[in-house]
This record gives sequence, C-alpha cells and structure tokens, in this order.
Amino acid sequence: MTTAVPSTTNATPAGVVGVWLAVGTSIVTGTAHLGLKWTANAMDAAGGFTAGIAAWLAVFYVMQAGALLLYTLALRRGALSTIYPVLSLRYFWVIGLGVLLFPGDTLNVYKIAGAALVVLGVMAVARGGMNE
Amino acid sequence: MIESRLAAIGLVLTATAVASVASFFLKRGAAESSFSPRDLHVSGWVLAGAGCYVLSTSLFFVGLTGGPLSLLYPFTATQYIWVTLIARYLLGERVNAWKVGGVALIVAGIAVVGLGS
Repeated sequence: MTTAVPSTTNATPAGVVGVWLAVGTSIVTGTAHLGLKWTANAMDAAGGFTAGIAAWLAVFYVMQAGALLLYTLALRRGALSTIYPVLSLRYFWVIGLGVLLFPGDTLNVYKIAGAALVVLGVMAVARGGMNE
Repeated sequence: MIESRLAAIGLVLTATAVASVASFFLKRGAAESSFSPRDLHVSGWVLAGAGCYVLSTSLFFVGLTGGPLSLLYPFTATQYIWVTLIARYLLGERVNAWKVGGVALIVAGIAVVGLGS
C-alpha cells in the first residue's frame, strides 16, 4: 500500500528549539513594540524628530526584522501550532509593562477584559489552523 | 505628534492592514526565492513585503505618539482578521468555525477596550 505523505509541517509537533524560537519571537516583537512606544514618547517630549530619535528608531526596526527572521525559523522547526498562542500572550505583558513604564498609561476593567478576549480570540484562530 | 485618539487608532489599524499585506507578499514570494548564499535570488514579492513592513512600522510609530499602549495595542490584533480574509479570498484556504469564532472574539475584545476609553 502506498501512502502519500503530506509535505506540510502542520502535523509535526514543535521541538524544544521550535518552542524557544516562538518564545524568542514573542519577546523580541513585544520589546520592539515597547521600544517604539518609548521612542514615540521621547519624540513628543523633544517636540520633533531628532537624530537621537532616528537612531533609536533604527534599533527597533532592526529588532522587528530580527523578530521576522526568528518567526520564519520557528515555523521551519515545526512551531506552527505554538507560535500564535505564544505570540498572543504578549498582549498581556506588553500592555502590563507599558502601564508600569509609561506615565499616564493606566489600566481599567475594560482594558483587561478586552485584552483577555483578544488573547482568547488569537488562540481560537490558532486552534483553527495556521494561515501563514 | 498625533493629538486625536481616533487618528492614532486609525494609524494603528492602517499599519496593521499594511503588515497583513506584507505577510501575503512574503508568502507569495517565499516559494520563488532562494536565500542560500550559493543561489541567492529574491523575488520582487519579498522586496515588496519588506517595503510594506517598513511602511507599517513607520505608521505604527506615528500612531503610538497619539495614545497609551493599553488602548492602542489591542487594535494590532486586527491583523488576524485581515490574514484570515486574505487566506480565504486570495489564497483560497479554508476558514473553519474556530477561525470565525476567534476573529469574533478579537473584534469583541477590541470593542470592550474601546468602550472603556
């Protein structure tokens, strides 16, 4: 009996390396987003675009590109079903760290409940299979 | 730089839509590109995708000047809505109940965040 073996990696469970690549993607992505917000606040405080702002922006653009590379590597390691749920959790920690780090950013019940629904939604999308 | 919350939300939504288009371009281009040092050729789709990512990050950055992260960040989850629509209508992929339900939860979550602000 011949069996066609599907070439898709969807069914492959993620190895330890794949999971860590997914975690790394999430950390680098979230850190770049926090960095962009920090730079945006710095630009507001400076009243305009400066060379220092441009330099920090370049750092966070490169981080975003690095995150994309990690994402691709994670997918190659079969982390397809891991990466969306792991990435979705960053809605909690990026918002939480944002509130701690940036003055004027506050939480309320609506923001916490909304973020929780978003995380659940992303996990449900992941459960339905990956598009990328 | 952005004074209005609504304008900031609009920029973040636009940035997210552009990022979704970028991921579609990368998906189109990945198959016809090779990143091996011996046989390096990069499809125009990949270059267009990279350009869209740069544009997306720039729009996101400008949007972030107009509101707190706790308000704006959940709006980036609209990426999953665009990616699901692109997968369904441009790539012909199946969209099942989990995905529809997930997208509905994301929309509900963003609406709840918006209500509280």
